[in-house]
Amino acid sequence: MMPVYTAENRGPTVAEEVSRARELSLGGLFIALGVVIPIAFHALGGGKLGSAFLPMYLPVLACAMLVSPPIAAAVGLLTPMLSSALTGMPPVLPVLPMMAVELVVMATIASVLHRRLKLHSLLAVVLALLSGRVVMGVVAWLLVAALPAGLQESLPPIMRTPVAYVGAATVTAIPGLILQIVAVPAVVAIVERRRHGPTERE
Amino acid sequence: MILPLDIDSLARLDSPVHRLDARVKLPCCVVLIAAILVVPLAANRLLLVYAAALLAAALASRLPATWLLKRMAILAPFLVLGTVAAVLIPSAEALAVWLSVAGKCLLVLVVAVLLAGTTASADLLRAARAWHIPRTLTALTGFALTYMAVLSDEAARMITAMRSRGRVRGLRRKLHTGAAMLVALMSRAAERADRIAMAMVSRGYRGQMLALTQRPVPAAQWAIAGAVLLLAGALTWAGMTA
Repeated sequence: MMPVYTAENRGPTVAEEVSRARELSLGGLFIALGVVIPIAFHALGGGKLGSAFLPMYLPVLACAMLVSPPIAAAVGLLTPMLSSALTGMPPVLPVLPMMAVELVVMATIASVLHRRLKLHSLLAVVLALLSGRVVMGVVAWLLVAALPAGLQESLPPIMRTPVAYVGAATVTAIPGLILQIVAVPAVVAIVERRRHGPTERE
Repeated sequence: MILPLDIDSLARLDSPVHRLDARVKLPCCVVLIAAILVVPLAANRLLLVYAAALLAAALASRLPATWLLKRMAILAPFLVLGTVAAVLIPSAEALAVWLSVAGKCLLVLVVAVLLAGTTASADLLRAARAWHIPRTLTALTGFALTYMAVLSDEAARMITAMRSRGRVRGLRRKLHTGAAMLVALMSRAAERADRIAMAMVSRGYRGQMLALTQRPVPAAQWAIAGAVLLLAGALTWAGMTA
């Protein structure tokens, strides 16, 4: 049912409606990019490029900088889920739950830092990536702790110690982390400059 | 095109499972998944009953077996690694745990694949809205599914253009070219999102997505949902008392 607006409750202005619609469409399009870009990486350089360049993180982080925190969290949650459902990447277990939690936290933090606290996009990306690594360690530890003791012992030592696991994953992903730090602020700057004009944020 | 994106091609087949309303299929699948996940370790054999029921549903759905197996293949690496680990550990408890984990993962995936294969994505989104899944999530998913093919085409065009400009030598130059392409792709998507937003508002968007009123679900279909609930309930009770 459509809401009824009175003199006291004037309802959203056209600018607010455009802003809300823009957040939704931007979120949807960047979720789609989060499915398409990893496929393009796989098409160009095989499966190994995925863990090195973290292509799914790019659109999620870039979108998070441009939308409000709730939409950013929804984009972080839906992107890996939709990609897993449509393409099988990331695999449902054990990567999908880890990645979904990591992306939700990263996207929310990036959005809060850049949109609410007005931090520079470069700093916001770096802090969001750091928080993502911490969350990855915590989720890996929780997943291992949920296994029975017998199965835990059979895991390789690197999986049993979250710090070592996160360290190894971070070293593998160094090119990807650099790519995020370079590309995400560039996208954010281009989009913001076009929306607000060249002088507003400079 | 990079992706084989005709995601609804099999949803247009005709079968008893296809004809079930998405508003009935969605809760049935959620109940089945929950019931499969709560099967206790001591009652692993109940998973076979669920497997038989799902096999019957798969046969009734007339989905091609090769398509089903291809979709199931995403679980193969996890199953192979786990099986090797379980065989290497000489413990009956570890084997039972593994059979439970692997069986549940496999059956949950079958439920999800059957739902996705027999239901059009638009119907699934409408059903999610009818079951009060937050509108933001359904709207975002709808946008993503609608524009995936467009963005996939755009990415494919950019890759073709990059290749036709000649081979890029050296890792640094490759990274530079790749990053520039990604930035262009994302900023064009943001530009497109702005145009879509303006179109939405000018066509009547007032803070929530407009949707047509849906026809009520026939009573016979709710009876099928009741049967699924009964089966899941009975098996869960049997598992708890085993």
